[in-house]
Amino acid sequence: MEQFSAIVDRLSAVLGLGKYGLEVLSSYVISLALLGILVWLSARRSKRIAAQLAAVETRVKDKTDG
Amino acid sequence: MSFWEYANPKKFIATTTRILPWMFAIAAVCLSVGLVWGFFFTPDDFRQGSTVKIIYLHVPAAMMAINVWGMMLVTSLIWLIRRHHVSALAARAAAPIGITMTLIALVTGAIWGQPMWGTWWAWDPRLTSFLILFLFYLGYMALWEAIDDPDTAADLTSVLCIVGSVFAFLSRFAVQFWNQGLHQAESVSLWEWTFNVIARFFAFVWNATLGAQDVIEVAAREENVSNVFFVPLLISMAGFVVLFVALVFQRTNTEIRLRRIRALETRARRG
Repeated sequence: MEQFSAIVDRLSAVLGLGKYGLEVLSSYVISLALLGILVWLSARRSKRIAAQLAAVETRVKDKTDG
Repeated sequence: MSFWEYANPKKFIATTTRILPWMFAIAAVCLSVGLVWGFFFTPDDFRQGSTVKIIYLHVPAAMMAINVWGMMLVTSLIWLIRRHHVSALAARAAAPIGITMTLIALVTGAIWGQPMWGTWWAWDPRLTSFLILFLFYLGYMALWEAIDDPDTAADLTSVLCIVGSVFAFLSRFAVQFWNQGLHQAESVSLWEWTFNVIARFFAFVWNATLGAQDVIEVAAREENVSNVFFVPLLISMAGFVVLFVALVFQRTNTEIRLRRIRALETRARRG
């Protein structure tokens, strides 16, 4: 915990965030992480479903062709 | 060419797939410029210190939380009136984005509120209406998952969306007509700002009674936010909007494909 506080204090000093470093940094980290997870999950699901549809269409086509 | 052509799933997928990479690129550029500018190149506020930098995430996220529900309301009404599947699927696709934006607004608001108000949370009209909006998003997504028949699910979620709109609009206007609580008045009135800029621009072009300087002055008019913070905030807001549109397109395409898979599998089972 002390180590974490030391890191935050050092970062706040480097970035010139003053006494509110933890608040500002945590807001950015949490928000960007949430946005990143949303984009990543959307892209992953999109790719997975597109591949699944291609497989189903091939299967149906093969079945129809005989 | 009619707007309703995009109710055709194939046409929708073909068009959005073409523009998606561009939209993600524009969103990345706007977000990078807005957030980096805001974080590194704006001064601290004389009262709020460096916590003012939270504005570049909090305000765009709150704006999107409300507007995403507005978009879901429009697409839900289109579904109920015209029965276009793409519009119902677009509403479904938008909900996880809306709930993420609401969560970002709530979390950053609490983090910002603690040092400024001395509390993480207060039962203030705006905060409370946002919490209710968050719960409506949860309920909306749960309802989609709970019903097997997609058309029935679309019908019921559309009705829920209409009901929830009361809270979305309450969240939007709470600070204007509920003069109590801790939350400040709205930071940026984009409607008023845009209207003023457009009006002055046309007055300048047609009447030449105004100088170019007038247009620039209105464009840079200080709202409740100082100009130093306003420009990067505007860029960040643009980034959030474009990211939302890109994600909705991508997620709607996924929903359309999922629907097609289910239809093909049902047809195959029936022989």
